[in-house]
Amino acid sequence: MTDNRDNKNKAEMDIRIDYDNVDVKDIMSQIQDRIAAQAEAPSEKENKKEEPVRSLSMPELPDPQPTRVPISKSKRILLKLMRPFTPLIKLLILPVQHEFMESVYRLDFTNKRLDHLNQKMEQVLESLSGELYRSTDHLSTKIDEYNDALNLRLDLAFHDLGKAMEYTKLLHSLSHNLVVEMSKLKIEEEDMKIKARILEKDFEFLNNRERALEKQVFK
Amino acid sequence: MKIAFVVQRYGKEVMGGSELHCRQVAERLAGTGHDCTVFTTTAKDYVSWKNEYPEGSTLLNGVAIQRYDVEKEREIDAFNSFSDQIFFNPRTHEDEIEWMDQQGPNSLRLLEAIADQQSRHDLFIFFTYLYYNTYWGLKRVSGKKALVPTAHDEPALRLGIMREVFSAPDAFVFNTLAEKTMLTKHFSFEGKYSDIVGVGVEIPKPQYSAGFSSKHGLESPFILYAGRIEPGKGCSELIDYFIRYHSRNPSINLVLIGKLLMELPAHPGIHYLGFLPPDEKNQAMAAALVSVHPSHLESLCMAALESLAIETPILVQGQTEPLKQHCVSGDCGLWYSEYADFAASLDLLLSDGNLRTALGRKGKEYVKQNYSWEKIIKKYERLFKNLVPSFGEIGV
Repeated sequence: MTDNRDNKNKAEMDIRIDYDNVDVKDIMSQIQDRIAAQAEAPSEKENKKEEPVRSLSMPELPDPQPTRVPISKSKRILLKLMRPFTPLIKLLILPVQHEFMESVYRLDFTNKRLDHLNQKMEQVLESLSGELYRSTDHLSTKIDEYNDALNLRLDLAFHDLGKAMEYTKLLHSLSHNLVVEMSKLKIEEEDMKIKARILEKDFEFLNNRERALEKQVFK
Repeated sequence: MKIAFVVQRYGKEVMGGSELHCRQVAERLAGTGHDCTVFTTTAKDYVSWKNEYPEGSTLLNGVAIQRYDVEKEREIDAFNSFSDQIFFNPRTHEDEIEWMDQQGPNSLRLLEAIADQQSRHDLFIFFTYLYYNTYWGLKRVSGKKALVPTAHDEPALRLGIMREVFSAPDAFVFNTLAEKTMLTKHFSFEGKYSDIVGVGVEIPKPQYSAGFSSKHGLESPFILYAGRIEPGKGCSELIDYFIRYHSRNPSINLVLIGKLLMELPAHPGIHYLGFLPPDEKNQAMAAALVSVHPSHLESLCMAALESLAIETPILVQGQTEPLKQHCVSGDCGLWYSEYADFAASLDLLLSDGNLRTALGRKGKEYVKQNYSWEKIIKKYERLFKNLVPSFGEIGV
């Protein structure tokens, strides 16, 4: 079945094959040459391709304008009414329909592929946006967490700083008091030293007086 | 000989290319009398590395398996964007280590088990260069170790840490010459044992394909794609090309089988039949006129070899060197790199039954010659003999 149909293809391809000693390299090189030749003369091939379609369909077409045959009045009116639709009728009758149908089929297939690809793309975009949303959400939660932790640490730091300032103030006041007290003590010490010197002098005077009195008594 | 395999996932349900490759090699070697142990994770899914198998030791088809939990699942979106950033921007060693950490599967207990039990094994074979278990596992093994890179040309190969991965093993097992050639551009294998081995493919019994099409309501002939259906395997490109092709050849269908990991367009020519058991997969391959392999990233492509084993010719992505090399070495398929090639090659394959028969026959011969299990096992034993000189003596 396939062989019958495609014997034509093989004849068209005109590949020389030695079936007892098949050489695939040679076959492939003939195929490549054939493709190269077809690529060089595409227009000829297209003409050849289109030819049989026309020859098959054209003879069967009814003549759209039979001018010399007598036509009845009613038929003439009918033809006149149908005249605006003539291109459409021609389109349906002429072999263009085959190509038209083929184009429609291909367009339909292309549309389906495009729909399928669109659907795929939408799915991918949807999953991407979901991923993005999740990532953003996750990121903002993380940022909030970091913010909270940072604020807590700042509060603690400020609290410690306040404490340190109070301590510094107290230390300053303490130092001041200490200096004042030391100064007072120094003055008192000086005062005591003077008093001690006065007492020593008094004591010396009293000793001298004692000795003078003793001399007066024993005389 | 006592052989340890290290692979990211392992199990009956794990159908990934390199993981299945590892399982088949381990089971075949166990079948020839070797003592095989597999160190792996409890993950089933390569996207998330979710722990699904129970942790512990078990036995599957003669192979002992030790599974360890993955410590963290992979976040694929984050990993992909990090990969883009790493691959295409200046990076540090730490960035690359971080990339490997995100790549996974992370299982420190697996690495500890490898380190603790290394004295009990004569040789460690690591499968797939790309993962955490290989990068760190290679560092933990001080004895003999081999790497089956299952690599294709991808940005990860250009990371600096990959030089550590490719300098650590004592031997390399490549899948195809194309893979070795590609890796030689990045790393030096001088003075180290290496061989092109691949994986074995069973030639199935002749398939009765007639019932397959009627069972699945396929009235027209079809081309087949078998494997994980995902954009990474080139399926989007295949579907686009096929829809264009179908618009001028509406009698041809595209049948897809395997795990569906992408959305398929509602199109009258495209049929998804789900995940088929091996026998039915063979029937599908036999019933198909051509099997298509559109992946841009392959180091071997088992589906292509399975198709050739059934004498169904292949049409492959020509920019994937290992796939193209299957076609050229075996004269068993055609390739394409853009729509014009795809359409012209498919036109020729579909129209010429004699060509399909000739390519299919040559394909089967190519698989027999290069990918029979007997030959694969011999190549592995040559590797053992080279790395462990006492191999072959009594008790080893």
